[in-house]
Amino acid sequence: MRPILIAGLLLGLIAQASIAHDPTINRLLASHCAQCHGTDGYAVGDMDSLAGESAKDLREDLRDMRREDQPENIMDHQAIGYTEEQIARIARFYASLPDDRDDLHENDFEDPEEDEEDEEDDDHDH
Amino acid sequence: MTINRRQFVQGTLLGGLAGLVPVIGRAQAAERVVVIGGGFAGASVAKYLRLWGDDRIDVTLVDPNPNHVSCVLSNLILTRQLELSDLSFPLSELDSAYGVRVVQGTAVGLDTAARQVQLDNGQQLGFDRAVVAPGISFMDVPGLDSAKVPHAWIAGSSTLLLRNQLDGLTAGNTVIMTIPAAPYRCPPGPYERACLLADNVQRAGGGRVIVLDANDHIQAERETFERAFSELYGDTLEYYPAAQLEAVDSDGLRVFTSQGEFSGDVVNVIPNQQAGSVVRNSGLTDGRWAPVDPVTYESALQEGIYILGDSQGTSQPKSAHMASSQAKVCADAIIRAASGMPTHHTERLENITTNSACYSPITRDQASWLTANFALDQGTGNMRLSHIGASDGWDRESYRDMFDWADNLFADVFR
Ligand SMILES: Cc1cc2nc3c(=O)[nH]c(=O)nc-3n(C[C@H](O)[C@H](O)[C@H](O)COP(=O)(O)OP(=O)(O)OC[C@H]3O[C@@H](n4cnc5c(N)ncnc54)[C@H](O)[C@@H]3O)c2cc1C
Repeated sequence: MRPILIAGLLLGLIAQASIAHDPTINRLLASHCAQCHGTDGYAVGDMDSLAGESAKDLREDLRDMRREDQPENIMDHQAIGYTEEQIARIARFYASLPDDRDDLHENDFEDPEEDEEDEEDDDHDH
Repeated sequence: MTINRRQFVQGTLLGGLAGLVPVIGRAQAAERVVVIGGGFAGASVAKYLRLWGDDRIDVTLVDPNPNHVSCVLSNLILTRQLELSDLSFPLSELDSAYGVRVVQGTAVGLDTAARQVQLDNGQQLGFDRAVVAPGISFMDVPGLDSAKVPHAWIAGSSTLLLRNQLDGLTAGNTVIMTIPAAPYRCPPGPYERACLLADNVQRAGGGRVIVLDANDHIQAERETFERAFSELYGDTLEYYPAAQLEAVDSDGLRVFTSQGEFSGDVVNVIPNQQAGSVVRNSGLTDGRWAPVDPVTYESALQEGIYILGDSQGTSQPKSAHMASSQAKVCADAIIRAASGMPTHHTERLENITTNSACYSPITRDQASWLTANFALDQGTGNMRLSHIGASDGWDRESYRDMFDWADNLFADVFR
């Protein structure tokens, strides 16, 4: 019985992974923001926190920076270093975290469901 | 430890991959990882192994000092704007916050066959995997006595020695500094140092700063530093490219280079650099640095040994920000490997990135910045520069941003 159950779960997981991506890879990508924006995006001092922001806002902000004709500030340049797909993954990771660090359970994050409205708002300009 | 959803899922996946044998309920011994060096690379990897790996990874961190003293911002010790204590981070916080076992000692040997690290006090630490992150060591310079001619390139007593020497400057004095041949720790760092030395000399009533660069040109933020050298410090600073250091007279304060002999009142020699000695003595280097696979930071020469930060030999800049970025890739890879999950599958390879940022004080209240992104080139297996950006000159806002950046970097690594 048990192997069959496991196989079923595994198939389910693979199916799910192909749609949703491996959330630990989103986390790895997002972790490179932490040197400036704090571990898990909970910043100290005047730096912007990223945890708990909406995926859509983060994505739009990063895409705007990435598409600056004349990148000026440090974040415009950082954003250029990522693909649009990577930006979407980073945004999804931070959106999955609570606003308040005290509510965070590190390995308990869920990959938030892909937001329909999120996808629709994408500008497919290239 | 409570089994949360993701661990359940990972257990299932692992069982599935291992021929559908369920692993749930089978107690797995934690993977023992020993980390050598509690600097930006080592502290980051220890923290993230525990943060992401939970109790699956047992982490022991070895460093000779109970506190790590950051090189980042340490040029501001020379201007008396910061003290060493402002840049000292107790490694014990990694224990209280994340359960990293911190051992005070110097790793003197790494037995890759017996899988043991030997410490200077005779202690042996067994490991399943070891991460080696001891920073840099200096190459020999004939005649150099660092107790008289400081490098101030590993923050600590050497930084204080240089500061005390600079405190004694009077009008008309000469300061000499030498810049090592690339690659060295912190590409813009020596030029930032040159600016602040010139600022010190000007404040002491004027004099000369002689900058002897082993490289053919300024190695980072070239436009910014060329401008700063001429516009801000033109009266004081003389820059000599392609000046290879040959020898030093540490008592007479003379420096011998391929461009001739120079003598000064204070001499700051930053020697050429190579991987930390424990890396070099353990068969992990190929030339000055340790070759690694940047998908995991595992040594190209020894299985199960990982090299991070300034000691590793990829083309990525040797910076603290970068060291921490590499540490995250490595922690993720070790956790995957220890759980029997793949590290080199397409989805992960497509998303192997690192980044770097450096702020450089150009004066006592203005700074410039530099940022770079790297991505894995799947064709060559090397990291490729995907974008580089720099500030247009220097300003006060960047100087303020520098402290916010550094505070977050310090917190991400040491707290
Ligand atoms: C003046 C200056 C300014 C800089 N400014 C910046 C900046 O603005 N931004 C930036 O990103 N980077 C900057 N850097 C570079 C940065 O400091 C280094 O790149 C970074 O420290 C590298 O991290 P690491 O972990 O490899 O080495 P380190 O941080 O040097 O850590 C190595 C650790 O290993 C320990 N160790 C050594 N040998 C052993 C052993 N055998 N056993 C046990 N422990 C051992 C040491 O005690 C130390 O704690 C600057 C450097 C300098 C000198």
